[in-house]
Amino acid sequence: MPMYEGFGYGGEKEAIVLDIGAAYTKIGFANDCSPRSIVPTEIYDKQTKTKLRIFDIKNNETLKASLLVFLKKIYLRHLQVNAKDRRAVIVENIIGPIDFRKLIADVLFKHFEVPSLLFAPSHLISLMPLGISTGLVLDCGYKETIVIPVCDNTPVLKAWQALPVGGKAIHNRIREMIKEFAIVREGNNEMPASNLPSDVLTEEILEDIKVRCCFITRLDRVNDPDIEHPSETIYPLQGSRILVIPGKIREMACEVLFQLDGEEKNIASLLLEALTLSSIDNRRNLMENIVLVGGTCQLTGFRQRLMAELKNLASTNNKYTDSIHLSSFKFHTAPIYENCTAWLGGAMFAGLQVLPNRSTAREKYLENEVLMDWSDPKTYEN
Amino acid sequence: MATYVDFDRVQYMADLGVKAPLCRLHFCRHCMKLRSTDCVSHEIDSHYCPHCFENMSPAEAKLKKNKCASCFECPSCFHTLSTRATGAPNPGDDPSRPAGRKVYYMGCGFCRWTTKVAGIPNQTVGSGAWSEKENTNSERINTLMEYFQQLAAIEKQEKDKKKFIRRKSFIPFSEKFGLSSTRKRASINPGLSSLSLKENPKVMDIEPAEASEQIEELSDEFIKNPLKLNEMTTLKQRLATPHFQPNFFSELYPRHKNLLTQRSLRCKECEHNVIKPEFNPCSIKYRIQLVAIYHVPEIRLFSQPNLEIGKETQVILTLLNPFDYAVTVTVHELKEAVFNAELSLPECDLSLPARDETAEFDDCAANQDFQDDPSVVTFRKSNKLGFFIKVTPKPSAAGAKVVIPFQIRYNYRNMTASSALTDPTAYETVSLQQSVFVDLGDLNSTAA
Repeated sequence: MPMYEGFGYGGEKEAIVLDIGAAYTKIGFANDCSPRSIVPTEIYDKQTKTKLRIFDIKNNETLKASLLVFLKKIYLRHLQVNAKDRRAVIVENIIGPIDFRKLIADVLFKHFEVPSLLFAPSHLISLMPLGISTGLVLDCGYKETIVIPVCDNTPVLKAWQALPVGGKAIHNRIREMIKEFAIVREGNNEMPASNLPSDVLTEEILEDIKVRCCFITRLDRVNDPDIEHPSETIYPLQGSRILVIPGKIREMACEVLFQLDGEEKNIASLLLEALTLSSIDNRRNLMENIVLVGGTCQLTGFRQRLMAELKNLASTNNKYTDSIHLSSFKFHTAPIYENCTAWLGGAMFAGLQVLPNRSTAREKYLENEVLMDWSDPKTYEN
Repeated sequence: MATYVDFDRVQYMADLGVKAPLCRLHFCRHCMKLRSTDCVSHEIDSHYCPHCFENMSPAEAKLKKNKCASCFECPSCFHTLSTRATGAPNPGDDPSRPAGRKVYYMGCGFCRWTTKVAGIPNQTVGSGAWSEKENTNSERINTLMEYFQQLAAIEKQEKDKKKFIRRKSFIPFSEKFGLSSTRKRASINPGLSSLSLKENPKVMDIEPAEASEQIEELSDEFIKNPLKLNEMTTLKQRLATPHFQPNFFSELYPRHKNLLTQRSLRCKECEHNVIKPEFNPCSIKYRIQLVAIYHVPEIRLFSQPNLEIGKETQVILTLLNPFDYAVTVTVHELKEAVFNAELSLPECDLSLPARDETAEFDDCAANQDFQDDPSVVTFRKSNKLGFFIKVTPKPSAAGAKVVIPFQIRYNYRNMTASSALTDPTAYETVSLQQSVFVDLGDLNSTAA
């Protein structure tokens, strides 16, 4: 009985909001306070009979076909609405690949026939759930960590910073450390974990170990050679195999986020670097409005450690002592978990009555197939 | 016959060049074409709960957020929870007295999780009293939403104002055509449209979120205490409830079961339904069911042939008649296709009797008086027959799969809606053709 539908706001059906992350996709409706579901951004590949991450697909043709399958599942299974009668809002990484957004637009407009589509920059709309207009946004996700300062609702692209560390880097570190330090028990036998077949430690198991066993330790414990690591944990692998995870892995695996790399960068230095690049009048405001988004920020001890690292770097590293004289960093807490903050921003924006004006309508797209894109001023002409 | 497992090996060409096995295709009776699942639009008809089969309209499902009001799911293993009754301990202090009234809790029959684990008190009624965990932040989010709505209203107003100003520029023209008097009257009268513009829009005040500097450090106890793996939730359990992602097993909370949908499929070209289910979710019947397998003669690969380059091999294919009338199929070459084998297709007609479900149980196969050429037809059983195709793989087939394309032509009796009204047995006969691609598999490895 669809004729009774939509007595709510404006007589229009709520838009759908998707935040397609490298690891997980957040799915929901405008005006909702939380996503309806969070699903892995992957599809089942019939040919290889494995799960395939959407962002690992390099070939554009395959990617398009996979996106079609993935979005179909989202619409029919998770949202349970007809694509034709809902506007769509996609929360996007502002410095993400153009090809990907073009493909998404193509699939949504041509195959799903959505009436309009809006790409919302994730860093900017992450401020909406907080009700602030200026903030230094750190997005620490699966593949990479990106920092973009937002001043008066404008992302300062000049000052963007990124580092390819995130959940995936932690998984790789856990795998390396397990091979080096862990042992496997099978019945009464013990053997080093390096003897395990390489396909046993799948991404899922590594993720599970990260989520359930690992934490980010305090700064004072990192460089102390005589500290006593926490106790080991027994982790059941398939069958009778038991993986004994030493406390060192639990405590130190996530250090990959904070280790300074060859260019003396870690995720804390990204924030400081972005601060030095933004205008001097904004710095104080930005420092006191740091917003953390992305699932990796939910690791136990992440906030504490990031704060300690910031204070440490700002006061000791010569690069920053000259430009950053204050040390009062402040973190925001959004009214939702970090992995959904950007989604919530998108859902809030999608609920506003200006949405039709701000999005690209289907008719307009089909005319010339041009999407508005900040990196190409020509796309703003029509 | 490998067809039931390897059904991907015989593919039919649907629209837009999509090739798919026949069982995955639909047949639009109005366009007379095969349609793949990508070329039909999927529409949601109604929602139903997979556990209690209660069905509801889209509007009702939207109100309930696509969740069943009465069924719950285990937060640990996502199995459906069942309600269990137990005797309440007597409030009196005499333990010898039998327990009084019944109380209810929910438990998972699969992983043994119960609502007692979560510390949810037992209920005195069996159903209806359970609730999901509330989102404690929704109030704050709604306040912010209200604020942004007001900002959006101003933006919209300004946009409309621009439109209004542009219209003003036409006034000289209207004077020219004698409309000035009406225009003047409108400007003296403070009309409704101008009223809302002159008014200074007021926006409510909101408190922006406060950032904080104080963060509690991880304690030594946390670091030193041994980890109890069983007490930590997995990521899947956490993400199942996005607004409340508990880290500890004891914090898991039952959640409402998600609904499933009944969908109908519609041909994108002519907008006629291809699949339309019954409204009742318990029914497995369809009101419209245009599955290709009932509307197109089916080709199957009889057995795996032994192929060698340059050597002519006879391949047996099976042909099935799905119609309730006799059909004659002819096999033709597919001109434009590129393929890696020489084909010699049967030139005679292949006649098949109507599909008869009772024939399966009829041992003395009656009226099999077809004049078959034994060099073409290998066997015949009720509505199916086997026929030979001679295949000679070309040298280009080395290392690749041998795929043979051909076309089948047959007559299709179409019951049109208009003729069915006057005479239910009336039909029109249409000649149809379908392109078929049979994957014969790899070349014989010993010969290579």
